[in-house]
Amino acid sequence: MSTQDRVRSFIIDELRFRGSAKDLTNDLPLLEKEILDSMGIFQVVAFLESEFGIEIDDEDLVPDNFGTIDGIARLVESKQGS
Amino acid sequence: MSYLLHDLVRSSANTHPDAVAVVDGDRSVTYSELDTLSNQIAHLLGETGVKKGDRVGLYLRKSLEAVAGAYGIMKAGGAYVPLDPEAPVDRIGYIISNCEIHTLFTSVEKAGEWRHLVETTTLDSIIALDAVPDDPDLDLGMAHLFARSDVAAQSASAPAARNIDLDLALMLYTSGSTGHPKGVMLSHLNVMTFVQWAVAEFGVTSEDRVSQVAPLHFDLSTFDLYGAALAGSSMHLAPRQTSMFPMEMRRFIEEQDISVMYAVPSALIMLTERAKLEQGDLPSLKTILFAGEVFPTKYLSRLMRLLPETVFANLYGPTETNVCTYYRVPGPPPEDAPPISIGKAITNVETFVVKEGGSVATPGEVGELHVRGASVMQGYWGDPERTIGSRIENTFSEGLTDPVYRTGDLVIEEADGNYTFLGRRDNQIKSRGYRIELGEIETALYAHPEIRECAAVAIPDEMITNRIKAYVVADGGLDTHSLTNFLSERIPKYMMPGDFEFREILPKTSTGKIDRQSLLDLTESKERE
Repeated sequence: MSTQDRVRSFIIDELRFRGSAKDLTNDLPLLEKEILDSMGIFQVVAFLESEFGIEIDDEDLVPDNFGTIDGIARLVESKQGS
Repeated sequence: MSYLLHDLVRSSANTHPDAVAVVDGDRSVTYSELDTLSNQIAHLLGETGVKKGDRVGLYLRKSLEAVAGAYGIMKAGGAYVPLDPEAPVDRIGYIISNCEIHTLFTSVEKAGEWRHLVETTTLDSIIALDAVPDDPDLDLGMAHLFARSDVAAQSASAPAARNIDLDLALMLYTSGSTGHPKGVMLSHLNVMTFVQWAVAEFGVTSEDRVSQVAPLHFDLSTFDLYGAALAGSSMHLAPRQTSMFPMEMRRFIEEQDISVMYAVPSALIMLTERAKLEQGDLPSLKTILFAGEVFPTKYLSRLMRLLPETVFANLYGPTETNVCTYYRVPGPPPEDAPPISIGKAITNVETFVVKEGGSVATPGEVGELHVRGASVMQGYWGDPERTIGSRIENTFSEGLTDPVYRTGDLVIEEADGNYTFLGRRDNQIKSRGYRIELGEIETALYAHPEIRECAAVAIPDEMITNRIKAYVVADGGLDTHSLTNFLSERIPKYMMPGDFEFREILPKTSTGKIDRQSLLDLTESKERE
């Protein structure tokens, strides 16, 4: 499964996304559409840290990194590369 | 002397017309502009039929327009009802019908909901400053749509509505144990009593820059709006992202030079733990006020050590009395100290503790906190029975007929006269500063045809006070995903259980009721594993 698909499954299963998997596209604005809220962000962080074995720093907690599934995947990949 | 909340803007517009009143991202308005715009909104509301005492919905994200709308509604003689723009539309529809709202002050970002609300409620007029007049996509059937041009065509003069301070200014809906939210009716006097005290107590002046962090449907927002207007300070709307990203909150405080901030502890904990603060940062922050939930001592202590020059105060009070007691934290408490005090009564408010048998407690005795004075609400909208149950007759002092509010909170008065909060008498809980009736969640669960039994329980959590877990006994193959979809149409996100457990049966007490204590014990022992 791609990074995007793993994040998508998490949002659907754990963050209770209300639509179907095909509505949750890689570029859907998660913050503007209110799919992620303050609780959701921290759940995503905990998930990324355990699922991908990476560490998310406080300065990574910015809208750019959590605005879309693609943004989250880019964050994961940059952490894996470093 | 201003007796009405909207007179505060009028008065600041007279004394310093060009001072900035509200900052919303890169937009701002002066007191004079805010006064004029809200006058025009009031005149238009008058044309739509709004008159003294009418309720008008405020259904939009916080913005310059939302603030002007609140003032405009009060200037028209009405009371504003802030509707959570993130709540399920059926809950909004319930509130609109419950307090018979005919006019909605809103924004096109909610246009997708207008039609449904018009068809299912008492609504007949919609005002949206950002709407395009005669937009064919905005066919509202029987309702009228008014746009910015309709507001701009109105006179800038002050409207003629005559109110007194006992009239309703706003109504805040809070979670109700019977399954529906209940409307707390607040008069101009109720809010003014708190605001005048707070501005004097914390020395807020026209030099201050006050943040606006809490949602408008949360009683904390009344300090931001009317405290700033009374002092002639500027009020700075925190963008939504500041509640999600601690570094964004920090940037907001720094860029806007915030000097006074009123927020729930969970937002301040994020700032403490994840915003890379070091001692000496955020030098502009003169005062931090917090309310809504217990501030865990560990985090409060850390934040106070990071901001040694800042005044910290714990404000306490249910929406029904706004703030009724407060405690200035004298210095960073030890990290392992018990939760800080909720302090003593504010000016012009009396508090006392009543024991189980109905007699007044002496210091050291446990009882329910009672409140009397000008900050006690007018009642629950359309619910005289519940109003009588909590806003009781004053049988504690001779010759007085004013009502006394029973908070439902158990407290003890310490030897130094400060109160310590011990817990609730009922199933009401706090989570992230939101007040939640577990019964409202259970009612929403029971609405599902496959659910036979359920119980919502609160699990103590260090960061957000409580997490919610639902135990469910269901027929058929009900799963978490479809149950969540079902619930999200009925309850707001902050009430959504974070965890569901499907069981064959729920434990019962000897009287056949669901045994909550044993569910809690079960949850706790599982968490320890």
